[in-house]
Amino acid sequence: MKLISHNFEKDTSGSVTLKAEDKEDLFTLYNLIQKRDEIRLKTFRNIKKEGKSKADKKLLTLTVSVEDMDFIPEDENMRIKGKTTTPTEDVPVDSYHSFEIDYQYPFTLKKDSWDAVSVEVLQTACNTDNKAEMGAVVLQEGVAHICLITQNMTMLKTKIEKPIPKKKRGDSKDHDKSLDKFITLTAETVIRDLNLDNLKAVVLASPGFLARNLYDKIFQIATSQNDKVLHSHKAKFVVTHSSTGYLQGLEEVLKNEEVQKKLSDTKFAKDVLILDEFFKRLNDDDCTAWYGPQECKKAVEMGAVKNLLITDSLFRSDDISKRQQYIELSDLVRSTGGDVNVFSSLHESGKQVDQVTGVAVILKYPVPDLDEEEEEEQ
Amino acid sequence: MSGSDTEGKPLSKLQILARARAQKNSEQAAVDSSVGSVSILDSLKRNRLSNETPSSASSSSASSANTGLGKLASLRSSTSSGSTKSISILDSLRQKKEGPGSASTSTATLLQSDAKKKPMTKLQELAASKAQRSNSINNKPLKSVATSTPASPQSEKPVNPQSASSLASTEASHITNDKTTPLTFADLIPKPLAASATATFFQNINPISSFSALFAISIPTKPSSYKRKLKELNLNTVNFPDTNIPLAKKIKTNFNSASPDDIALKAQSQSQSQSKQKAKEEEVKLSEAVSSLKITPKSVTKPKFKTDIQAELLKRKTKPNTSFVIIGHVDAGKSTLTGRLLLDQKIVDKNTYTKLQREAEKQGKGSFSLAWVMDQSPEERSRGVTIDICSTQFATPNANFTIVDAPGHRDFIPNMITGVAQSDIAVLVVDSSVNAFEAGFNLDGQTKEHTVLARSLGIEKIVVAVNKMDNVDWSEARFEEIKGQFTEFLKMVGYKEDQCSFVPCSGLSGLNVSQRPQVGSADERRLNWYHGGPSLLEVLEQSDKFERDVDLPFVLSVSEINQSNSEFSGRVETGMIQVGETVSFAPSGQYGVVDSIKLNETLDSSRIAIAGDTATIKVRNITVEEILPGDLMTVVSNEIPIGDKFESKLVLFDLKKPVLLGMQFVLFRGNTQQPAKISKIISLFDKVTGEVSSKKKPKHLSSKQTAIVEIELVGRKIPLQLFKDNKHLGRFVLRKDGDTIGAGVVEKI
Repeated sequence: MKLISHNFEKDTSGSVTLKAEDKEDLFTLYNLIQKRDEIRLKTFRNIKKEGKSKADKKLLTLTVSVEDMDFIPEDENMRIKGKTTTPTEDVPVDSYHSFEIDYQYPFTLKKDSWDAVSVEVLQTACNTDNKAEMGAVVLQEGVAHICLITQNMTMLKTKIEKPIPKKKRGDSKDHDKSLDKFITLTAETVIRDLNLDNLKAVVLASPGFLARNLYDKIFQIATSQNDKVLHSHKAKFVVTHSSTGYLQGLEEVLKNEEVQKKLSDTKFAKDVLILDEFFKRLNDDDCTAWYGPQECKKAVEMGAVKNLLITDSLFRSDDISKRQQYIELSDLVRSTGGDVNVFSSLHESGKQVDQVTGVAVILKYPVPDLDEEEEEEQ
Repeated sequence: MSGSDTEGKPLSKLQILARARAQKNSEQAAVDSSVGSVSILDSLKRNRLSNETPSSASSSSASSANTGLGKLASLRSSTSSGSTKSISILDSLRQKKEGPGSASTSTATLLQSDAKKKPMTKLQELAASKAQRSNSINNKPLKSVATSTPASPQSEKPVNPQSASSLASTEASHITNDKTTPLTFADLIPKPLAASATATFFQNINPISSFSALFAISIPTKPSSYKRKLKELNLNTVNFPDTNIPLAKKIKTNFNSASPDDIALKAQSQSQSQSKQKAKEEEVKLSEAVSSLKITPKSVTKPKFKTDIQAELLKRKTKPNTSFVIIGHVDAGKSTLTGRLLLDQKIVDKNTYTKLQREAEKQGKGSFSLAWVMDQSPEERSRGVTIDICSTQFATPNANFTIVDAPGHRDFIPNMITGVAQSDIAVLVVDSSVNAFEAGFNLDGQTKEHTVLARSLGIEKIVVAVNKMDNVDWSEARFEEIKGQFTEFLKMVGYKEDQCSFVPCSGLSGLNVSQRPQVGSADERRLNWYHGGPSLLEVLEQSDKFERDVDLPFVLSVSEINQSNSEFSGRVETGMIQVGETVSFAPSGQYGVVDSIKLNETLDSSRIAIAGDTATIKVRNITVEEILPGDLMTVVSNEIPIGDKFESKLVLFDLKKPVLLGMQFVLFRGNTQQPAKISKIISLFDKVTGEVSSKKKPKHLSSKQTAIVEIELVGRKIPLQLFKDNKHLGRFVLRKDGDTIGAGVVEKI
């Protein structure tokens, strides 16, 4: 995201002019823009003038108070719906409009209150240094998933499914042949669907030796097609292990040390490790891992929190007081020396945090019965 | 009485109603009045008498109650014949007592208070008739009368007509003050209650203390019927002076019949409902036609040939088809043992074997030659690991065997599960070499996981082949050590001692695999301590015959598909199928006629395939591409539910991290695998008591918990079978991150 200008007032209100650059930015905006924010942007409208039979397409600048937002990651589409606040020559005030954020025109976002989370979201989005995209292929015999993992989301690019016959005693030709076909198909799809120039790494993962076979196949194809660009990216490929070829295998991949090293400072890789630690503690039942808004609030107030795990969907809440509550919670954690990890709900890790109410804590020391006190109060 | 005067209007309403009633019951009333020829004094006396002997009333046999009611009737009729005021009040008082809301009472009370103004025989007739009615009713529920009679009034004082009368007068005015309500009260009291009230009256004529209490009872208990009565009242009553009887009658009849508007509306609605009904009927017909459209071609077809089913069943009883799977830790020697069995059974001829030996030696893997019988893919040979299952068949004089060689490496457990799913017995191979057994038996070894999986997938017999005994010089101590450790573990997993057997053997040398060592040989001396126990193959042969569910509908789980021939292979899970019958596939919903059936690997053509057989079935007119391995083939009359959600009882094993709602894992059922998640935790069983725990519902499950959960499949729907219908396909196991996390059975779809 490009920050073109900003203008913050003392009363935390203010406006920024931004330009989105990729779908990652669209998701950031989806998290940043809230209902009742004001947005001013250029958009084409069909204007029908009296006396004319045909409508003219005209580039207008509209100022809209946001009422609804929608984001579809697969389509790279971020739609905003709202009511105009200032009249223009062609568009009256208080008329409803919906439009998409595009990568072409900058726009100005005005908020009555810029809270800490909003500012942080904006800052991280405008910092291009820690942008990392990673390709990942998880496969097993007959099933392959090719995905793109970005800062904020995991996207399934292609899913390949092909039944492979079982080997028979004395004759495994059918099996071998269709397995080879399957690998070739997967390799070709990887080359076609993943734009290696933008990727920090490509991870191939499977149970057994399939991933290694795929790696060999990809460079066999590269050699036969004399694809020098592909060869130059050879160092980006990591072959690793997963227990399954289904999408859930990705979790294992991200925990892999070699992959972690490649992605070193990227946020989502760290998130996976923190979530893993949380689950481990939850499973051990050593009272250092809790989830649920009430439990977490209590733990935070005690100052016992080491890590606060929270998903961006909570900050996206329509209820401003709720959002404020979580922001205060985050601030409190930071002030008591804890870390706040905001999980993206478009990653598998974020989805899992969402499953446990969206907010969870890892404590510095065990605090038993956080939930039982709760019951007494009730 | 002032009440009745001031409230003239409502009263007149009541009277009209009463009159209508009276007309209805005029015949009865006539009879009644004729009975009432007894003098008042007499009746009073009798009443007193009944009060003095309350026991007779309380016992309230049918006859006593009857006579009691007769008295009441006579009393009433006596008032009707121009009685004194006090008596009439007394009468009303009695009736009030008698009827805390009884049908006859309050009406009568009203009427009597009215009677003081103008003697109205008609009304009194009504009273009498009412009494008569309740009398006739009371004949029946006598028991309830007896039981509901309060016991206390029996000790009441004798009647004092004078004092009672004054009280009664006030009470009576009270009642009349209530305007319309007394009547409605009266009418809506359930009849048994009225009856009981009557009985009370006979027991205690003047229990002044219980007076008000009784009165208090007369509150309506059924508001719904109260409303109904009120409606009726409004319909039947018009504000006309009570003298104008004919007019009132006319009005009543007019209002009782439908108004012109009503008639028109009724006709309209009738025609409407008729057309509606017609449309509905048509709809039903159409839907029937549509559904029958679907069903007609899917009809059941008869077998092409006449087959002696009993003979076929007997054949399978005397020489059963048994399948076993070879499982165990990686490098325990599973494939070598399988190769040895096949070599001994001459399934693999000498020439092929020598060729394999040469190839293996060329690659410097001489000891792998036997394993290569099963592991043919270049990948498997170069790496020296079995990757996929491989099944083959052989026959001994006593049994037909299907042998499935499963991979041991943890990455290929999904394949191993497929192998276990199609077997009856599991041969668990353990490496007896020093440290090798321990390595396989450790936390990370596959020996334990394989055993747990076998148990979870319903394998009922387990044979532990203590392999590579030649490496430990056939040491009895080593064998016993392994046996001891393993028996404990098997018990923990849930196997009983008679379900497990232990056999020392060596796959590489072939000792004690298919034959016992020769008598007198060096091998026999080494195995001296085994006391000539059975060889591995003998143990398999001796194993119990497995009961097959031949009576259930035919179900086959498809494991192999030959697209060009439209042939489907798999194990027949339940029931039987014959050539010429129609089968359908789930979930694709296709159906076709069975063209031919081939049994076993030798592909002997057969007319019938029965549960337990491995069959290759050719089906005509089918889009083969739509059928995937793991689909179910069934006889067309049997419907297999297809779904992506089911309720199950789930047992969790040792977990590295908790299972959360919505967390994805891989579900294995038969030879299908599918990503799935838990969508709902329905209930959790307490670890200690084994009962449903009362704690608030958790959002996650942790190690060793048992719970009823709803599992949702991700991706596509699969055909489901309940555990009670199918012991194999009703089971499933869950794996995540390369570990088996739980096992369960399908309980509700």
